[in-house]
Amino acid sequence: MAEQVRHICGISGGKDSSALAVYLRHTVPDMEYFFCDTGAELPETYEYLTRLEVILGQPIVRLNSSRGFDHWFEVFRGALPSPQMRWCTKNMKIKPIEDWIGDAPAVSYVAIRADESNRKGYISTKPNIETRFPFVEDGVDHDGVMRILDDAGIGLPAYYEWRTRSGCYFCFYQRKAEWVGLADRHPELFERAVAIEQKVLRDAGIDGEADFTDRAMRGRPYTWSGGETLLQLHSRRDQILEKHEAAMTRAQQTKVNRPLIKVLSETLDEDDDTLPCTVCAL
Amino acid sequence: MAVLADHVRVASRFARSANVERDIAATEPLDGYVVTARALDVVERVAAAAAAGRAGGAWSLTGPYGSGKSSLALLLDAALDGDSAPRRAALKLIAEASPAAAELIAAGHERHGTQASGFHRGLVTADREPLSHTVLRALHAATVRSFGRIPPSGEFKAADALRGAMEDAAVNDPRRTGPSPAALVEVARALAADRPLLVVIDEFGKNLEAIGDGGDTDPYLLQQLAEAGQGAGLPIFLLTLQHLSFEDYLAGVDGPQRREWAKVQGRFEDVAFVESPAQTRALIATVFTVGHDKLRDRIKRWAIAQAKSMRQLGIADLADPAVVASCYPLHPLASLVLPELCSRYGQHERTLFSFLTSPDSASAASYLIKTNLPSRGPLPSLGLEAVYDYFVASGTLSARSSSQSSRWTEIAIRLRDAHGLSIRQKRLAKTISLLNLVSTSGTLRASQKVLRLAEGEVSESLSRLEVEGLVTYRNFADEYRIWQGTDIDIADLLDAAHQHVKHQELVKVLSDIEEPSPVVAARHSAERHLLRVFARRWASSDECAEPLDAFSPYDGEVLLLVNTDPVAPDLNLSQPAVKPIVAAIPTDVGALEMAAREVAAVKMALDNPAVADDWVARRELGERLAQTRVELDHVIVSTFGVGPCRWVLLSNDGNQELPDGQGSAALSVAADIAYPDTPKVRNEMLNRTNLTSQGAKARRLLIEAMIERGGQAGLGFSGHGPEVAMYRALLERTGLHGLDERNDTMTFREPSDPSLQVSWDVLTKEFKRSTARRTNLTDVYAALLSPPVGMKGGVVPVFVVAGLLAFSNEVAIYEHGTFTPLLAPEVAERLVRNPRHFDIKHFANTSGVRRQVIDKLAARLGVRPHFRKHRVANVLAIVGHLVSEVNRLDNYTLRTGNLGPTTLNAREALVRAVEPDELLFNALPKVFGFRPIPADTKSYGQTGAYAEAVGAALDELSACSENLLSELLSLLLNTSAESTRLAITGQAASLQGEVFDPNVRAFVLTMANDTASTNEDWIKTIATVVAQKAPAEWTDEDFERFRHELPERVAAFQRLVALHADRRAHGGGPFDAHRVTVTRSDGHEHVQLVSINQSHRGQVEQALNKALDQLEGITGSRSQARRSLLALLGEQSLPEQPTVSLGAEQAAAGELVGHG
Repeated sequence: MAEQVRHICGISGGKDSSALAVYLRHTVPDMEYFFCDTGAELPETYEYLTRLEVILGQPIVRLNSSRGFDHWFEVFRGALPSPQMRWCTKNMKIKPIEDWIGDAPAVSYVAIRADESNRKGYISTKPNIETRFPFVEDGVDHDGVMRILDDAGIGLPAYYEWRTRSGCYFCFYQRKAEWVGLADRHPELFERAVAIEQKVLRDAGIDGEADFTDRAMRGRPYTWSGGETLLQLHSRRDQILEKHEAAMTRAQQTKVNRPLIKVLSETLDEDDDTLPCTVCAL
Repeated sequence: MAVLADHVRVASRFARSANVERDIAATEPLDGYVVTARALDVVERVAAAAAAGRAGGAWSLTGPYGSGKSSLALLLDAALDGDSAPRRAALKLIAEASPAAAELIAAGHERHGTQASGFHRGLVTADREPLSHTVLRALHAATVRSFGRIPPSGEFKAADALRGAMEDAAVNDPRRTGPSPAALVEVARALAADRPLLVVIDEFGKNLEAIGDGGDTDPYLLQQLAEAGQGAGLPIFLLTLQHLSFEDYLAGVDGPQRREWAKVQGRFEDVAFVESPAQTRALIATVFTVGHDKLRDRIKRWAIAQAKSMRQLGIADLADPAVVASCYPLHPLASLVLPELCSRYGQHERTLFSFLTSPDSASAASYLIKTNLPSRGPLPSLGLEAVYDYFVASGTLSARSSSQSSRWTEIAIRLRDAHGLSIRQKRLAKTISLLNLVSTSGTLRASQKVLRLAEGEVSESLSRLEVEGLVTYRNFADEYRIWQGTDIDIADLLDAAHQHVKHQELVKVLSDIEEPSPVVAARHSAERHLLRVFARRWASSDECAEPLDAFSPYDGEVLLLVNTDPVAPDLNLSQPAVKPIVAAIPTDVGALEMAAREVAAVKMALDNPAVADDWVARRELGERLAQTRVELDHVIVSTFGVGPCRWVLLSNDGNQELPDGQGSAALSVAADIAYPDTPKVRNEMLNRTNLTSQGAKARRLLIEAMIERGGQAGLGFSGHGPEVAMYRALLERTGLHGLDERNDTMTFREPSDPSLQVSWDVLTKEFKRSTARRTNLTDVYAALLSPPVGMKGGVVPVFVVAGLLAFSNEVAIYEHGTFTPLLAPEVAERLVRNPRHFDIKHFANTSGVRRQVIDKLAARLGVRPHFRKHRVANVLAIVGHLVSEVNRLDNYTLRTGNLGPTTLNAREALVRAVEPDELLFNALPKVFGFRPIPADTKSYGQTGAYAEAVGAALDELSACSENLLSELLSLLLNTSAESTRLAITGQAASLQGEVFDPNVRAFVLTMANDTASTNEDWIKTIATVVAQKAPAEWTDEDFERFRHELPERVAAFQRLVALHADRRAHGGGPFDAHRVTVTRSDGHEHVQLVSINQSHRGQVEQALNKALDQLEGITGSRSQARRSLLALLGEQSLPEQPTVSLGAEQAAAGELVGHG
């Protein structure tokens, strides 16, 4: 007898995957929705997930919820993740997903839009997983996604007002203007990010007050945002915002009457061109 | 064509090396000898002493290899002979150099009456042998030379003594000491009583080296001989020839012996035997003889020109044309570098004369044969290139272990490896290298000026060599250099380092070199199936020893004492159970000290920043370091080896001598004493200090299984993975995990294995110690890691987790100070990593009143006692239940103020609780208005009421979220004036596909959702869409906002429903209708559905346009006209009785046009 095929759909907390979940809610029976919880998501994301669960009428399985960022940060004894050492993605996203999927045959639905030609999400290399791209198959583009969300009455996650992606509040892929946004919207989370960074900087230095002195980060000064500490970044708040505003205006002028979310994401992209974390942002 | 050799003759001079014993026999030992100033000085001293009186004298001649010491001995020997050809030759040579000296010798002979017979002369070359043997050979040689044999005792009174000494020396028995000094002194005295005695010991350094080898050479013999020839003594002339001073030879000898020799050396007159460069050049001049007048004239002119150049360069030594001429065919620069070159890299005169006279193809003699003498034009001369070629070709230079030879080697290699140079460039490079080798700043260096003098125009070749990277120009020195390194004087550097190191404490010197590697207590380790490793460090006995930290990877420490006081250091003990400290007390550290300081000096020299840039110096020092390190290692082994070293276990109760056996025997005994109660864990992967990554993974799986599957036999493991082996070894076999027969379940409990008993006692003692206040988990770890248990670091976490599981109802865990109700696998993962982030506190099974409270609460809350029989609900079980209940509450329940006041307070207390017992017996009772329940409460009348209040509050909290949803549902039904969800769903379903405004559309779609299985799910989605937030995340403001917005939404919805109902009433089909609501300023509204019949539309539009044209004239603008018209129409369409009720109202009339 053939094994039961599972149908799974990963939710990132962003609009595309949420729209896909809504889009498929009546067409794929027994869909299992999952979300990889880093324990360090924005409050807006958690709130949005609850909203989405209500709309989907079924719970979204939280993977990894007992071993979030704080857990790994302790287990790795104070080594911050970075683009060079992305243990966050490995331990909090990929491994939990693969463990959860197991070896049963499964169809994974991935929210890459019809108008996104180059993007790659987490596409499992496990042989038991078949990957499908319903938006690409059905030609659903950005506007289509917005329509789906509007129809469901779920709207956008609140963080889109100041940030283009879901993910950890301290994601090292976020832009300078987004850090400023975090400081404005969630001063307590910004404080925590500052505290982590300061602790790591201190431990990596020579005064060796803290627990992790002899550990992984020794001699490797590291800041969340390239080239400066968060405190330095925050002291340039006005300058960053000014630059951001200017970019927004420029974008608005060149493309009239575009939805704010598009302008925001394009101008934030202008800040720096590091690629976002594809797993988190899917 | 003539060659130079036709007119320039080379005197055959020194043999490559003289041997005093062999060359005495030669027919003309002094042929070719040149009496140098230094030699003459010695001759004069000896002759003056001989001429002065009866006594002799003692001289020690110290000079480098090849400086002519042995030849000088031969000269002296000949000069002090009786009337013979050698004496005449010697005196002639001496007279040529200094007639006065020759006269002194004659006076000496006269004074002692030895013109005919000559002195007794014993010349001997020392070997690495006791001094007495050497002296004996010298005396024997003197006797045989004078008498032809050892004369009978009648003729020579010391003959018996001499024979006896000869016999003694011949016996090869280590127990015999050889010839006795007294006998030798007797022979010498007897000889000197006859005629003056000359004793020359060449290579005397070898005797001195023999002392270092442990030969029992008695310095007293030499002292007696010297003393016999001094003052009013006998005419004994004693000469020792050696390369270094006594001190230097005796560097490896211990103090007292060195002092003895210093005393002996004091009896000698020390003569340094070193020639100056000018003297050496004078020697060169004696080698060449020009036998052709015309050539002599040419040489004179050539020399004048060369000397002028030299003067211009500031080289005063060769500014005299006579000197330059005398050295022809050497180019003045060649004569300039040769002395320096020979003394620095070779064997002085010996090397010099080899170069000048040997038949070697690169020698000066060969040069003369090979070089044509042109009849006119510039004279050929032997330049630096030829010198270079000879010294490269001759192995003598680089083979010597001169401290400077590395520099030489490097240059030779660089030049050899340079390819593609023209002959001219190569020559220039050789010249530069030679100048580099001898230059010590000053004028003689490879500056452009000097090079031009040597090689003519050179700038082009120089720049080419620079491009090739073979030569670099050093600005600061105005010099071209061929090697990259700097010219560091390694000997100087080492001297300075020695000076520095000399004053450092030996402990520091040794520690800076390297801490000694740790050692394993082998026997103990093998017996206990684990590794006990002792760290070692250098120590002095006056320090106060601190025991190792419990978390140190080492099980104990060995103090290697570097002073010989047989006292063990004091022990500084703050706690009773500490890791053992063993002192190793050697009997002799002299050799250790010397070896260590040597290594330290070399290391220090190597660390000199200048050396870092100089690979030559670096390599040489590096090799030296390796060599001295090996020596130090040997010395360490012999110093702390079996025999000469005591081992003592330090203890506050009196130190304990340890047995002195092979290897780590003492440490095994120390470990036996310190760790009698180590559990036997037969798993190599786990029972170690640091796990491998595989071991760590297996341990993680094991701990996870212990927590999640503790109730299953074998923890539910299958297969034979490492985690299974760990389980068997530590948990199953020891009984730490086993079947509790009373209730037939697997549990963690007190182990049955006696070897784990003490460990378990220590663990439970630590748990129970934390009753009053929290104990950091590292304290528990420390107790297990320390004696007497000494559990290995890999085992401790598993053992502690087993204990925490066994005591889960009694021991509370706090992470970063926060109470953690459950030891989940991820918590254990962090605990293993960072035990210091965790505290524990012990809650004993409560009794008395508190116990009654607990029981009541357990009954009310439905907390069932744990699976273990003797375990009853206690504080932790109740609080654990409460905490997990609170953790289940959604955000709305945690935020809302819409709860009973006591429930609100109870929620606050539960959320803020830090200490379980504080919550249960103080904070919560207060919330409900009851008395707190201190531990010693005698009676408590409110037990039942308290339990009930807690239960009720918890019930209210749990129901809060559901209550919200029911409230929302009734709110919606009331607002819609409908009684059931079905009615609304039905209405909404009728609108599906008809509504396009996104806001309304989502609301309608949600209301129409019939997939929601329950009313709660249905209202939840509606509430989420309206508030844009799920109710579980609501605050009270969200609720209020919802209540406000709902009527409007519902009204809009109902208007839509009505509109579509109207349309359907009109027969359906495509229609273009508008629903118009007119609101009067008093709030009354009138609703109408208006539409236009398509067939009249054109005509109506025409009429309207006409009317508007007219009105425009009145109102002034078309838009104003439109608005006025609209106002009138609205007024007219209002009925007498305004109404807002919807549904039944029909649009009465009015083909109202709304283009708006």
